Amino acid sequence: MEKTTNQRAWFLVIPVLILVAFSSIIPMMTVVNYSFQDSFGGNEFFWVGLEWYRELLQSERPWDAFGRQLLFSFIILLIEVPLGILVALSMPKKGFAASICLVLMALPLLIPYNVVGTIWQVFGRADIGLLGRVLTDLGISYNYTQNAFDAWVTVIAMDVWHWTSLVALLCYAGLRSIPNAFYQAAEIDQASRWSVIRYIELPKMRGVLMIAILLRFMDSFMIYTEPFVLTGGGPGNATTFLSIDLVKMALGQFDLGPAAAFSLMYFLVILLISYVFYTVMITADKDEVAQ
Amino acid sequence: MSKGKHPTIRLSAVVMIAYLAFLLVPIYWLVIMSFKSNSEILSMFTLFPENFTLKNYQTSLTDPSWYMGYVNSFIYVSMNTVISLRDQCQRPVKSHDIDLRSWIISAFSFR
Repeated sequence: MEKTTNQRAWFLVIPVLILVAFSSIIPMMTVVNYSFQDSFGGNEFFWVGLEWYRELLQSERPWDAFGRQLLFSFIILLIEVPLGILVALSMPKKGFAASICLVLMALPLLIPYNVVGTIWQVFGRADIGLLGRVLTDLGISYNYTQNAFDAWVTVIAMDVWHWTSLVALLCYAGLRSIPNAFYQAAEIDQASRWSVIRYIELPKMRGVLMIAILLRFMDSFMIYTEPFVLTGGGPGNATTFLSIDLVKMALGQFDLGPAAAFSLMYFLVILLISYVFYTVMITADKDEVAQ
Repeated sequence: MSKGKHPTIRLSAVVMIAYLAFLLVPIYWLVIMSFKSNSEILSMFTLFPENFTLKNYQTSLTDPSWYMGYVNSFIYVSMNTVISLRDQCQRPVKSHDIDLRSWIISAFSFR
């Protein structure tokens, strides 16, 4: 059979190529360009090779931010996932109460990030905020603008407040999809509430839980707005996470070269973690099908 | 069965109410603050607005330096919606209206 070669079809791809070029490829390549060049103002750039990468990997600053970032993501996962499961298990199963709970729980998810930061900034202030005032009246010294530990507590409370509902809603969806037969079988076996959770509900929630963990990890790894609104990364550098540090470097100090190198490495780290998570999820899915 | 079930229901209600309170108290604080005058916020600590005022809303809806924020957001959102439309067009879509709704919702998240 003879194949007809018709290359005209390539023209159909042009609109997409142009759009993608402007929306991702060109901006991305600009960053790549910056990361290999230095400039002394004006528009003169010269090639420095891997100098920025070497300098960054040897300096402490990005590593500190990376450490804080990992710690933050780890803590919020440690709080949000169990709390989300607990809330999902406690939610009413059906009826009016379930709808009310769903709506109220979705509220924080709908609030713009900036407003979340503002809410907690006001809420935690000792002079005008309820939380700060109550803690101060209880004799607990609490000041998130001065004390690094308090700033961390506030940022974590803020993230838990903002995103636990997402985990809970995903788990709730997973719970609702468990067929009733499982519960009936458990009842016949006189299974305790704990073993129902352990052997039926948790394994059945595994898929959605993986998604929830992945989403929460990626989102918290890229967190910017909320801590920025709260303290601007302070006190000192206590809550300067990776993206805040990046913006400080790129727009505060205008060190375009190092900032570009930083952002590319940041991007690669996220890509790597996503890949790992994706692989784990796919394997978990296959296992589930195989069982 | 009923013996074992009763405490679980109670416990879950307690968890649920505590969680919802945790979610709603900061929002409540923001809302009542919007009904207080600036001097009330700064000078006294009240759990409920003493002098209920809509002045803040009046300012944010009539002062151009405030309401232009909404206008800009809407311009941004509309452009974003049009641009993300092309992403959707390239995909083979089975049920159009569901997808239509989802991208409208995604585009309308004011962030």
